Parts: sequence; C-alpha cells; structure tokens
Amino acid sequence: MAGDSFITDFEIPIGDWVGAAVDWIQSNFTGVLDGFSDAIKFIIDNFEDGLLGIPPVLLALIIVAIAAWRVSWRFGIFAFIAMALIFGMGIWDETISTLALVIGSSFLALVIGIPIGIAMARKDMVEAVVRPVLDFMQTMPPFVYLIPAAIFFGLGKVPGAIATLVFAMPPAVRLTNLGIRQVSEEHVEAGRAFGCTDRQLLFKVQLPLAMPSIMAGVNQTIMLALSMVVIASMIGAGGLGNTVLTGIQRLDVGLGFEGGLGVVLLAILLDRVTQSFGIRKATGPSRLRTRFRQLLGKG
Amino acid sequence: MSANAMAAQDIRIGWTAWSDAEFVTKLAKRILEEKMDYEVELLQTDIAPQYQGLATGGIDIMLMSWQPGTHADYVTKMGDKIVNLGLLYTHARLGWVVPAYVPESEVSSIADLKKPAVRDRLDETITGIDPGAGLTRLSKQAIEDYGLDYELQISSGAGMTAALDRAIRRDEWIVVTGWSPHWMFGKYDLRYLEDPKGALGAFERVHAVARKGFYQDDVKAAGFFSRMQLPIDDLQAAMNDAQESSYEEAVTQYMANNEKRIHYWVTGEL
Repeated sequence: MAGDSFITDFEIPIGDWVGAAVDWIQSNFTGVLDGFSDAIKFIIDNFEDGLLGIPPVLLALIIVAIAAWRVSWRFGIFAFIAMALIFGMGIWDETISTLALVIGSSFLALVIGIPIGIAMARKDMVEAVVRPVLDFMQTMPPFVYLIPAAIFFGLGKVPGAIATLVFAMPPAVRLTNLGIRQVSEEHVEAGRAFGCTDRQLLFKVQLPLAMPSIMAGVNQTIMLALSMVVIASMIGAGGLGNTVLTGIQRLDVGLGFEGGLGVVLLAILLDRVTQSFGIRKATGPSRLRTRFRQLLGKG
Repeated sequence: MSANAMAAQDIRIGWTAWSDAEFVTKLAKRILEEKMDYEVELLQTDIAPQYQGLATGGIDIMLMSWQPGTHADYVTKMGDKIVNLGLLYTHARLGWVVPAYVPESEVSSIADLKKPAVRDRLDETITGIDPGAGLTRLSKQAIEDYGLDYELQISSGAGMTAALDRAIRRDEWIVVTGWSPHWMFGKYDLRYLEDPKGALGAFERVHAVARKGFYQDDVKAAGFFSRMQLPIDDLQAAMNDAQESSYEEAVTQYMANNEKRIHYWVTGEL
C-alpha cells in the first residue's frame, strides 16, 4: 500500500519548470528578445521584399536560368514547367514568400550551424556536449517549438523563421562535423608537414575536402526548412502553409493539393540546385597538389 | 434500469481540442460509460476532419457544431450526410476581444478602431486564428464592412492565445478574434468590442451532430444526446474548474452537482 502511494505521489514537474523558465525569460529578457526579433525581421523582410520587388516573369526566368545552368538543360525545362504551374495555380506570391522564409531561415541556420560543426570536429569535448542537444532539437516534435516562439517573438514571419531554424539546423552541424572528421589522416599529416597553421589546415585542407559532406548538410537543412513552413504558418508565417491549412480546414481537397504541389515543386528545385554545388565542389588530388604548391609559394 | 444487460456497444465520439468541446465530450463519455453501459471511444482531430468523419461514418457523433454562422461552410457541404441531434448550449458567440485595460473611452466598438491613435497603438493588426476558420472568414468580412485599414494576422487558436498572453504581460494593446465559451475569459480580464453592424454574427448555438443512420442504429444513445443540454454559465464555470484542476475532475464535480439533470438526459424522465 505504502509503495502504491509512493508510485502515485512521485512526480517530477518538468512541465511546470519549462513553463516557469519560459515566463522568466519572457519577463527578464524582453530587450534582448526584441533586438533579436528585429534583426531577424530585417533579414527576412528585406529578402522577401527584394524577391517580390522583381517582376514575377523576370524572377521566374532567372530561376529557370539557374536551374539550366547549375543542373542541366532538361532540368531547365522542368523548372519552366514548374514556374508555369505556380503562375497557373495563382500561388506565386505565396510561393515567393515561402521561398524567402526558407532561404532566410536556412541562411541563419547555416551561419550558426557550420561554425558549431567545425568546433565539434576539432574538440571531442564539444562534440560530446552538442550531440545530445542536436538529438533533442531533431526529435522534439516541431509543433512544440511553436508556442514558445510565439510567446517570445509574437506572431508572424520572425517566430516562424526561428522555429524553422531550430528544426532545420542539426543536419548542417552534424554533416559539417562528420565531413571534417572524415578527412584522412594522410591529408592532415601532409598539411602539417608543409607547415600549415591550424587555421590554414582548416581552410585549405579540411574544409575543401569536407565540402561534399557540408553541402549535403546544407541541402538537408533546406529540405527540413521547407517541411517546417506549413507548420510555421500556424504562428503566422504565411505563404504556402496558409494555402495548405486553408484547404485542410475548409475540406477543400483541391486547394490543399495546390498549396502542397507548390511546396513539392519548390523542394525539387531547391534540392537539385543545392546538390549541384556539392557535386561540382568535389576536390580531386590534382587540386590538392596545387593547393600545397600555393602554400609553399610556388603557385 | 440497465437490467436488460445490454452487451457493451461502441460509440465513437469525435472532438476537437477546444476547451468547451473537451468538457462536453468527456462529460458525455463518462455518463454513457457509467450510467448506460456503453463503451465509448474518443477521436481527437481538427474540426474539418470531424465533419468528414461524420459524412463517411468514421465517427458516430460530435458535440461541437457551431450554427448558424461559424460552421456554415461545413454544414452546407455535408448537408444531407449529417443529422442534427439538437442543442447542447446556446449563447455561444464570436467577436473581437481586447484586454480590459484598453480604456473603454477610447475603444468600445469595432468602429473605434478607425481612430488613427488607436490604429498606431494596435500596430494596424488584428490577431486572428486559423486561415480556414469560420471566425477568420467573418473577421475578414468585418474588416471590409467597417472599412478598417488593418491586417488580419492569420495564425491558429494556440497562436492567438500565445499572442494575447504576450501582450498582456507587456501591457500592450491587442485585438484578437475570439469566441465564447473559451478559457481565456477565465484566465484574463477581457471584453468584447461592440459590433453594431453585426458583421461577426449574433449569438451562435452549439449542436450535437451525428452520422446518418446513427439514430436508427441506437435510439437510446441518440435520445441521450438529443436531451443533453447545459446552461452556458454552468459550462463556463466547469471550464474554469478544468483549467484549474483537470477535465476529469471537472466532469466528476459536475456529475456530483447535477444528478437530477443527468438523470433526465439518461432516462428522459423528469
């Protein structure tokens, strides 16, 4: 009996603690949060205004040109059809708004994430600390981030970008770390033998060799950011997420599908274009040799 | 009299995570299980799939059909595939809501939002809920009817309450699109803005709606649902209890305090 009551009385009020922590941050760091919020707003807004400022037809042609140049002429044709579909479904503005949010929050995720990945690769201690945090960020259901983001940053694109950033950052960190750690000992030894400083070793040997892996991380981050946009529209991020949600909530299968198709087309375009950077950057031994020559001043 | 030892039957009740719907649904489940020997399964989804579920027979009944205005979209769409089993409570309403500290002398009705000073304080924003919600549709209409130069910030039910909480902590002005019954009225000191043009509809009535054929399949349970009805004040009080403790406790409390009424719902005898 006593044992039973212990079982029922035993509780760890984690939920209360988290609630209290959110309250505490919100009442003590108002200034910091607002500054942070303004900075992110500035980036995302300018990005979106810039993209929406370009005449739609011109922007569509630029996107088609990038697709044809980076991937292949066949993919250029696909991009052309995709743009035509997006215009035809009347979701151009929503698509661009979503694109701005995805690129803006991915950019922020990479600016924060890649240096963390580098730090992890260089110090085992850092890796041991950061890894569980990444596991947490990646597996906590993304809906859970929405309410704290809304409480800290209000509603709109800013909390949407922040929730997206938290959700989408881990792959960039992980794959940067992994890429650098997989650079073979021989390369590092060779660099050292030629008298590289730590900094030179990082920028001239490790990062170039890790580039395919880092680009795979960038690609994953962008894809995750895109999968977050529909969820982020629940705190006012707008864009295609609104189209999808409206369709779902009005039982309007057609509208939901149109919004969803917009997301899919955007995803394919972003995926192929970012992948192309990873493939082309693959460094062969010949390039390495020239790098060493440069280091020795014979370049 | 459950002496006829009816074999336990399943009833599937759908519900959406709104606090009024949660209380009424869990109350119905407890009564059906404890007093009428049913097995009840609750299915939680968003509101649109609830109507879809009734139309396809995936759920038997749901207890939160807002009529005539809010759910007009769904009701017209599903018209002949769903059956109305009558009122659950009346005097539910939609409206735009401000915290009580926003002085009534400056903002008492929706028309007051046109004042330039008020518009600046509110950042030209009305904080709304889901893009597909009936309340959102009516709020867009209200912005047009009153000729307001405001943006309706679309988010979700949770996003709206988070924004309200944030504004109240910071002592900022805010207008949100809201409805009663809602727990926010228990937690914060709020008031509705007057709506002289009636853009957001008058009072709404909340109905129990069943799939086609449910009444014929189970007259006893359908009779219970058609008799179930709560005064709105009782419901708001119970919702406040639920916010303080839990829905299960609030249901227990309500059943203890309203034996006569529940006896009538179950048996039809006054």
